[in-house]
Amino acid sequence: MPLTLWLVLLPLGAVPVLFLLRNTKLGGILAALIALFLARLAWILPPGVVWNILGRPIGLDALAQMVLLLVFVAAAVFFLLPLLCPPYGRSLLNGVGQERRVFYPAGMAILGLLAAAGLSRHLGITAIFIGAAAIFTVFVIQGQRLDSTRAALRFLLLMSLAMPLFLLAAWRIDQYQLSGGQLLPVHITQIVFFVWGGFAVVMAIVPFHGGLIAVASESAPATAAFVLVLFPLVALSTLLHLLAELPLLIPSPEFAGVVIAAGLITAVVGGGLAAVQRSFSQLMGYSALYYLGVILIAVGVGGQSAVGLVMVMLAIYVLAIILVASGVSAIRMYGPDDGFDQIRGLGRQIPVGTMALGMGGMMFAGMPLTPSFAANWQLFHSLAAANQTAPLILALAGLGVALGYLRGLRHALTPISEKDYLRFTEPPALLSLIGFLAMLVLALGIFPGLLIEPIQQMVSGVAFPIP
Amino acid sequence: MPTLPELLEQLKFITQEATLLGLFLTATIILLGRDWRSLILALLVQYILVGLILSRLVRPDIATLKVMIGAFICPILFLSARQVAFVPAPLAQYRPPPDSRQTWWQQLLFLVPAFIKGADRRRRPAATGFVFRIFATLIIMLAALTISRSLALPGLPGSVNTAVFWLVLAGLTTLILTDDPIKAGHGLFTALTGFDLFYAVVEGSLLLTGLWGVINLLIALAVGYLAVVRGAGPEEEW
Repeated sequence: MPLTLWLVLLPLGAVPVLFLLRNTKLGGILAALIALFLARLAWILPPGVVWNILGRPIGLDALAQMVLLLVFVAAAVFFLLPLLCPPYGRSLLNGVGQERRVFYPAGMAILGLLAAAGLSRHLGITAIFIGAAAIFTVFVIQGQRLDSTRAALRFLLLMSLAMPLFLLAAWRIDQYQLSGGQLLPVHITQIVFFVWGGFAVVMAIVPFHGGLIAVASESAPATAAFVLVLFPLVALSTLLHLLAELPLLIPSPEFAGVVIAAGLITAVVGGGLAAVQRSFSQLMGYSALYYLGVILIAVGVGGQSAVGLVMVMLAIYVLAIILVASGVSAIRMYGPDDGFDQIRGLGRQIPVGTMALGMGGMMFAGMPLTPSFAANWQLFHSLAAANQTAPLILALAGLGVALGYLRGLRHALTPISEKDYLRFTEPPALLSLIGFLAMLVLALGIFPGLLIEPIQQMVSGVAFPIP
Repeated sequence: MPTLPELLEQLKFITQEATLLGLFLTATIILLGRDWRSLILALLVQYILVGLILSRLVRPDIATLKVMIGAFICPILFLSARQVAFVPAPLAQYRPPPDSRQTWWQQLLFLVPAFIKGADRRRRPAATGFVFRIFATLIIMLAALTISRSLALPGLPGSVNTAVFWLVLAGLTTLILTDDPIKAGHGLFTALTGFDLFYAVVEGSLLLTGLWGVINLLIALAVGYLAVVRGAGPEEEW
């Protein structure tokens, strides 16, 4: 059996074991180790086709390798977070903090299904795997909480409605390829509509962002971040593969303008609403929305280095979400909630967690001395060639994200009286993780080439033309 | 016991138009109704009607498979909804005040809408009023008829074309109007049934058809799980 298939079979095979260990720390450690092993496997496996389904290859290429690496590393961190921040003590009543009971087995199944989606080059098969992963995600989002099903239900509905669009697109694409590219213009328009419609839903592009925001607001930080990272990453990887294979998906420069406009609207909505949020978990959702909009703009701008730029932005997105999720997890350990009113003065007691929130937020916003500054700068430069107003609007939306985090930090760092001051000690393992990530962010912020150049080289063979 | 072709032969007297009428009725019940039993019954009938239509358009075994999937989905939803049904709902609850002047069909005219509406059986009122939902249904019906006349889907006769648009629009409208997992699940399955009616005709791959069926079953499990969670938890505000 080809080794590449282990990327799918190993996580799926580990599900029963993790189910048995779901209530133990060992379960979390094992899940993280398996995810790290899968990341290593995705990194070292030679690219190539291993199988064919419905006339399309199943296999690794540079792009899939890069995306799976990010997915597995991020998953490993998210599996560890509930262990590093034990048990969100004051939130146990509504089930938050007990997510690991379903998180480890269901999360591992999701990893396997998304790995299969990442390896498949048939849009229909990919959609089915993403759909199956989304269904398992419902259990992860819901966790043990009983007070609301809104987030899980919205996520399920949106993902379920995206699948028919993908299946119809796959049907038309099959027709297109079987006919040797001889398809009526109306059918090509249908392909474009179905593909972009489906990806707009999966990537939570405005107005389909309700599921993403609800997940960020209601789910536990680790599980919310897990969802916020994995699905957009695999969806973007699939989209980039399709764009490279089917240039007809961007039929005209005007259509590229539509993609950029959709990204810009998403970024503006995300940034604008981030500025007025009143809790860090909601802020995480809106800042993720802002950055997904920025990434979509990078797809629309296109060009020779577009794939590289998008991959760099995805790596930054993952890093920022991990930092923010770590910070929110740290806050949830001690506070009843992560609402700004509830965390007054908490920043002075858990400084490292607060720092993680600040750093993650500034990364989302694209501030100088963070790695996203260089990526955003490159995007603004390319975008200005097409439209001089758009970079300004995007920068203002970024300031909205920064403002949202600064508001939260102001509440967290408000001085409190000595009698309200509680002596906390942040868990050493969490301190180590955040410390490592903070140093990584600083190093990549000062020397962005350390991140950009290897990624650009790795995916240099993949490009899609923008007419 | 009759074989599948014999059974389909016996059902030939049901015309496409009659099936379309049936689908209008079932989706209307799903749109308007609140009683989980009437919803599940309507969904089951909907799957059977769609299977009947498909048996004339695709291979009979594919059509049977679609009905079987529906026949698995409905018990999943039934068991979940039953587990958390708030009130045992005696039928007497729906009984009109005793009036000797009312004939049996007048009483029936009262009972059936009351059963479908499921009034007074929920912990809280619906997000939208019954009259509003009736108007929404009428508008959606008009929209489905108008769209199906101007947009012909490949491989489908006119009445089936209308059925596809009607089911999709009715399902999506149900999703918009509700916050309850069971009801939303019915809306979702109605929309997906409409899609299936078209997709089963045009997609030749058995693998994709089979996988899509599995996904439908998994969605039913997830909806059932959310219904149980919602029923077990306290009231939530939307």
